[in-house]
Amino acid sequence: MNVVESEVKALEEIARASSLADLEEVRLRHLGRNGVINQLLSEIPELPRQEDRKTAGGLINSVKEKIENALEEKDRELKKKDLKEIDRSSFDITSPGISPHVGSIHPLTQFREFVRDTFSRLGFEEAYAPHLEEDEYNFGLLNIPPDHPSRDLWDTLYLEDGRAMRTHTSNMQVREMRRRKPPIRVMTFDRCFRYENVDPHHSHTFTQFEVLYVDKDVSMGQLRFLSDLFLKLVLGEKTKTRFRPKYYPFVEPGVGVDALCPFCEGKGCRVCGMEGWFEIAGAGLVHPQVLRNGGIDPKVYSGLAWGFGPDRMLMIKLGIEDIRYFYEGDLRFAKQF
Amino acid sequence: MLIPYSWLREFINLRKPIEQVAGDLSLAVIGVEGIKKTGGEQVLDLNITYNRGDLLSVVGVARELAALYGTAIKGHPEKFQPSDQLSPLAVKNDVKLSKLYTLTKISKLSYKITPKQIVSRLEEAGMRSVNLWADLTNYVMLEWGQPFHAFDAEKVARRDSTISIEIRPAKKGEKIKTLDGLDRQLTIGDIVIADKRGPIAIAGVMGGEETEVDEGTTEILLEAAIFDPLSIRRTARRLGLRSEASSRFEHYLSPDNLYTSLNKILNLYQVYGKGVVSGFASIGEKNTEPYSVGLTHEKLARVAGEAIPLLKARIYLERLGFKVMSSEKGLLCWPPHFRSDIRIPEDVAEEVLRLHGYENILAKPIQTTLEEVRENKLETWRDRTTSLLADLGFSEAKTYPFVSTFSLMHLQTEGLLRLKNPISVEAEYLRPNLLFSLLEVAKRNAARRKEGKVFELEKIYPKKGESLSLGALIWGGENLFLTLKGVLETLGNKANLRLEFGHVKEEFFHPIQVAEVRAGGERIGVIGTVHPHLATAFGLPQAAFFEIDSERCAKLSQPWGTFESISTYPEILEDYSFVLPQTKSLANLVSDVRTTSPLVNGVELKDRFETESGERSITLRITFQSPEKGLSADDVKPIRNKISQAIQKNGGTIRD
Repeated sequence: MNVVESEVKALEEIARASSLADLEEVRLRHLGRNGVINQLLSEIPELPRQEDRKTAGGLINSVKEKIENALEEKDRELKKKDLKEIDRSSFDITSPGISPHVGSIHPLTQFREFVRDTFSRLGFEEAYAPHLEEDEYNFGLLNIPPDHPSRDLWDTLYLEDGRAMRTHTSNMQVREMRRRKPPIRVMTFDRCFRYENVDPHHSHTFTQFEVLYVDKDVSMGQLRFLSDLFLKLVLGEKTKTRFRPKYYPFVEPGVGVDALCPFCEGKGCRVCGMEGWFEIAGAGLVHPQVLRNGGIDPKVYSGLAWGFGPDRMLMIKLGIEDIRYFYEGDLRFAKQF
Repeated sequence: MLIPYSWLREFINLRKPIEQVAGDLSLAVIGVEGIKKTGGEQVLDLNITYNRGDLLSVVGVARELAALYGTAIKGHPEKFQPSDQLSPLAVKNDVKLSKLYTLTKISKLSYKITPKQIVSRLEEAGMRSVNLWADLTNYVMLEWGQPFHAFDAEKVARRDSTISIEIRPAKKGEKIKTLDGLDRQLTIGDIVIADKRGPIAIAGVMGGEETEVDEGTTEILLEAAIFDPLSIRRTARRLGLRSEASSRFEHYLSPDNLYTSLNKILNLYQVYGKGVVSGFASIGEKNTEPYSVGLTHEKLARVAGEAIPLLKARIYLERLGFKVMSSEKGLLCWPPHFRSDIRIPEDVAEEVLRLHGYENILAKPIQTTLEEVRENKLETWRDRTTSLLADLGFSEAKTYPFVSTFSLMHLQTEGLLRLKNPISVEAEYLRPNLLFSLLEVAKRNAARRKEGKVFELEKIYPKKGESLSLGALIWGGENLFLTLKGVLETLGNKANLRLEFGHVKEEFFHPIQVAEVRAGGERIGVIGTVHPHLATAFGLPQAAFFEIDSERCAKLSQPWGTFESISTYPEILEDYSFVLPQTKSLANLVSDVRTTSPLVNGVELKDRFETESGERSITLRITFQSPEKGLSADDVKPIRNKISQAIQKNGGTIRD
């Protein structure tokens, strides 16, 4: 092929190229490593005369330059055209993404992580106590002797070996007092059990969260502080709370903590049973006898215990109307979280 | 406790609407279940707790409201003062069983029907009218909190004319026919009221039919007593006879209150029944023994979190009926006779705070010393494992701790912990593993989902002790064992936990496709294809499951791994394809290949194909790399041979 022919052919091909990919092919064919131009250049040494070699070299290089320029121009033209085409194309961005198929974390677990995180920032450590518990730790050491009428507060499931399925997370209190020294700041978020038939609002298996804080000068004022701080975090900054007298044998004074119904703001609605308030937590200052049972001198130290039922809190917060959803493994429930 | 509002207002002037009174009660005294409207009456429904037995009466609630509003209650009658002329009655009492026992004889009674107001108040308070004599005992009990029992004196005399009454423990084999017409077998723990011929009442629980008062009764022996609370409670529970009366005996009753209410009831017997008091006997404490509890200024401040003036505290306490003496250090307080729940300074402080108002307690920030922070591997394991499994497509389930009857068909109950008082057969045995819990979750969802992945991280209760477990189950799809094993291996890798798998035979699993999982030289769990028969029973085409001990995994895990430096020199990749029967261990083969030369930097399972006849085709991709230099073909050539040998030694047949 002579130089002129190859120039004509290249320029023709460039003119014909209808896409950037076509153009790249043309470029490779002519200017690529094994392209026409290189081919021609490689033939130069075969020319016998120095002069001819020089002329040919100049000629080929000028053709190469022309081709390069034509390529560049065509490239600009095609890119412009390409952009116009992209502009004219359509794509439904509302079409759902291709799902990576993730699973789900149970809402109680998510809530546990949230609560744990909050209280660990306040310096509370995780405490663990058995679910199958000696009567002593679940009752006796908490001022609830056998046969005592105050036991009526807890309908208890017993094992054949005499142990109880713990009725509250408070079985951790004396255990933790005995294995730590004040100041004690511990928390637990775990299961408890009661003799209770299962229906939308009751469950023999349920969850409790509880903190225990033992230090010098622990007071109702601090209990109020801790209680408000947490409930505002969970139920919103505007949450209002109140304390009421409530009897738990292992605290004195004992209080029930109410939160203003977030749905009706106290006016009374179906969610709060027309009360305007939800009983949301139970608390009190640790009874001096319980401190003594834990090996702590109540003359020097005092303590507070504060706890709530995460199932109920979540039911209120998320509008879940049946507690059984938490425990019966319906994936239609799980997948929502 | 149901309290008709008009009854309450007999004892205290209340101008506030009942809703407001209910609100005040709930904020400062006791829980209010609600306000019921029956007929024209409004009734307060109070949730009385054990510590406040004094509130099991109209008067008790009136007293509290008076203290709250700073007024006084009205119409407080005097205590009964028996005159010297009354004939004595023969009563024998063991004071251990009854702190105070009184018996009053009322004669010359003439019956008429119970006045309408009394009948309706009894009904509003949740009781039924029986006859005038019994109604009056219930009426005064509801008003004052002291139970009474009326015996027909003539019927008692008919049994034994000497009428000698004794409070004693029941004897073995003794029986009594109670008011409800049933024969009751008594045991030694029961307290009975007996005459010479035997029991005429189960103390504090129910009277005998034989000495029951009726419309023909003209002479009554009226019992007012304080029995041992625990004994009454046990008997009432055992016989299933918990009543308004027995529930009051379960609390501490006050002798002072007994005498006051006795005065009231005798008055009513006189007014409505024309009765005359003709005999009386009492054995035991006549007054509540007063005792004092000190409350220092510091103590009160320490409970409240702020200083409350002692003068204020004193006023609150006096309004509640305490006798108070001020001393240099604080207050010396004598609780009123009806508040035996007040025992320690904290109890007194609570009384002060209630009247001070809990809403006036200001939040006080906690100031504390910071302590050493300890590593908590269990929580790290929990958080990471849960997130990872969810990311890998697993849904977390939480299930009951029991084994359902459906699952029990596959388990030997001897191996399970059993409840003494199960709620139902569905909640009788504690679960020994998570397998059945998750199989049930799968069963519940299988109709809607042909494939699924679920896990649970919760406690199990095998006989050897409860432990925190982790179970994961997948159903549907193909290659379940290896799919689930991949998940488990990933969990292990992310926790820097080296897992090993060993041959094992395991109940509930496929006879061949099952392995025990080991870490740190100990068994931590099991993985396998669920036994086909078991899967079928739960409506699953096939399933795979693993369960590992979370506490042990956490202990052996390392939250932080170690870093291996990354070579900057180029790597050479080569693929080796071979056939390996299922009887040979691919893990051993890979391990041998890996150790052929330090230049073998990675062995990856690039491809595998398994045939039904048990053969498999494997392609391993080997990475050669040196930390010191770029490798040439000459460096790799001698290793190739060793790799081929390793593959053949482990049973592999190299393919071309």
